[in-house]
Amino acid sequence: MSHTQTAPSQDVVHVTGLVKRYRDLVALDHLDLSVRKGEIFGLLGPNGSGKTTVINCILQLLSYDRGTIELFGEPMAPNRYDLKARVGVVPQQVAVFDELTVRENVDAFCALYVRDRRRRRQLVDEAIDFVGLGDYARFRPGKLSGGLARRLNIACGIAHRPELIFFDEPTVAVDPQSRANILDGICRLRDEGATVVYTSHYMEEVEQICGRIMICDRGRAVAQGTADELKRMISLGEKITAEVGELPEGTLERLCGLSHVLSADHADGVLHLTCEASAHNLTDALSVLTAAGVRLGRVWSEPPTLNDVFLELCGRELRD
Amino acid sequence: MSTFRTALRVVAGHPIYLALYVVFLSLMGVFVVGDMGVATSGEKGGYAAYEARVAVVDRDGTALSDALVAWVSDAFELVDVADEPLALQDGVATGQVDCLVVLPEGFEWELLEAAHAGDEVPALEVAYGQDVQAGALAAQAASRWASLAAGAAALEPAASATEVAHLAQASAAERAEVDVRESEGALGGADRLATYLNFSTYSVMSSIVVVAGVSLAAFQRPELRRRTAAGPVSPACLSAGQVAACLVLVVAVWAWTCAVALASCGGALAGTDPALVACALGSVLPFALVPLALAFLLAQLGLSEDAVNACGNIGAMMLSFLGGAWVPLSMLPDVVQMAARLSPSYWVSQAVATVLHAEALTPELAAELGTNLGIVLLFAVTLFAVGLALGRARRRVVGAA
Repeated sequence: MSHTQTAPSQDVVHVTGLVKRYRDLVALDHLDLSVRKGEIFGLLGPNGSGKTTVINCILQLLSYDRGTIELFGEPMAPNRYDLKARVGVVPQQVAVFDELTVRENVDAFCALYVRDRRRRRQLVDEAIDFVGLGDYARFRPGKLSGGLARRLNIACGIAHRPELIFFDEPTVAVDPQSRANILDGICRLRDEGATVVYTSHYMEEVEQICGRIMICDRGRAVAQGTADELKRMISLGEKITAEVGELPEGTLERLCGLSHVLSADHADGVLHLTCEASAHNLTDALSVLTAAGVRLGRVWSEPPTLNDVFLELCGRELRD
Repeated sequence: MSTFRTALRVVAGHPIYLALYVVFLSLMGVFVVGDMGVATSGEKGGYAAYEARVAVVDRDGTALSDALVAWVSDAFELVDVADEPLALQDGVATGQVDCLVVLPEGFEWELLEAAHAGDEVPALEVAYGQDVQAGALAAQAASRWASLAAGAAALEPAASATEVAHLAQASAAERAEVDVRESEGALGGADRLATYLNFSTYSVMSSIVVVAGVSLAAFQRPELRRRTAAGPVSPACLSAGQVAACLVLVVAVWAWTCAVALASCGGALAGTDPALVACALGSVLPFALVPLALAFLLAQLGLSEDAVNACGNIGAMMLSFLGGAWVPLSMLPDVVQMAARLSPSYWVSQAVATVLHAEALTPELAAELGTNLGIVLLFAVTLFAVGLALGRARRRVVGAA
């Protein structure tokens, strides 16, 4: 595992040796985590891997058994309201008051952080504009579509201009346009100086916006680094696909025998090869196929995705 | 302060509940008391005998039957109905007549024979229309006339049927004198106010439980709790803001109840000591804290809006019943009267009744009032403490999950 060590003073979030137990179940097992100022940090993991638990511990919504948590270089505690004032949270489910309008909702949550009414009015206006809900300011949440409600959820979490924002799967059940809008918004927040911790099940999202990523499983950090660093950690280096029609007998075995080939599969006239990282995977495979007299259709090669990394590190078995 | 304002907005975000429970139910109490006032306040007015539309089918055509028809036409509104089966049925079924009296052939002979022999007077053949009460009274009056005629025939065996009819007419014309007097036990202004405040235990309880319960429950939604708990405001401040907003609701409901009570009973309270009226109205305020505590408890349990509504309505009906809002407790079995002491509405009803039946505010009365209201407050404190404990236990379970 490649883990880039940074000085704690540069970290906005610094977690070491965090342990959280629910009786016999170990939810977090000596988890280390560091988030640098100004980055979007992705937190990946299957269901029950401890993503939400670690966020709840950082926010002091849950007690924990061992470990230390520092925010902005200072120890975090349930009564450190000065530190909490610098943090924003966008929960997984839309957490707003059904009885209030869009504007009143944003104002209600912003008021927990900002007392000055004039300043707050300005921040609320900016947050509503930021998520593009200006035309819906007088609407109640029940009248909003799923995507608009998600955007309201975000506005409520960022209106007070937090330095550190936790996004817990903010794009679940959102249409592609709204998702793109939300991701653009998160990148803009980063560009404006905020630090973001982002959890999601959508690998392409994480790969798209996160500078560094941590994959956790069963309460432990399995891997941490940039997307490219993570891809280099796994054995899979290249995926080759070729339209070949029928394969002569023995060809698949010869392909499997090539050095760096991890697996070969032929179905419905399409050949799939997975290979370790090597410069000659494609030419080696094509040589075997040509020698066997196979007429080739389209042939293409792909690097591994974050999804491949995730599945290799966390396994393919179903989680609850 | 921010939580207080948000909670107020959430409370105001339920206008239907406010209109239904606070306004409508309290006005319903006005109608209840107003109706009682008309029926029993003993206001002086003219006495009017009951009225009924009566049809008499005379198949006898004798002097006695003619006299009975004449008497009925004097005493009631005589309706002409043809002596045909369909017309008679229609007359009764469509409400054309309240009472149909049939004098069969031989009516006079049978009545005189029975009177002379000392036998029972033959019963009249009657049918009632839609207003059964008026019909029954009219039939009773006709039977009474026949009995008077039989009595006259028995006393004057030699009298002819025409003479018997005259005697019966003279006897039936005699009526008891009617004089309307106000009884000492009639409802005065203080009693009307007590009745209204007793009923208001239902409107106050249901309105505060539902509106405050739904509003407090809004803050208990898991994701909202997570979001607010992550903020820089302590849980105590958050709870204080919510409870303060609900206290505003409590005071508003109490003030509205007092205003409606004074508007509906104000004129009749002229002879009542204002201090006693103020004490009676003030007694409702501590009682209003009980539904607030119950709403807090329900919110801590994380109940849905529908469940809070159900609890508010059923709980309010039950407690106001035990306070005597629907039926006077004295009419209920002993076991219910004993159980009523376990409800706060009983004690507030006692407090109101004690104050409004007193002549002046004395130290002894104040002590008794304080005792009753102290018991009411104990209910509120107990419910609040249970709510706190349940809320903590539930958060621990939810957190562990």
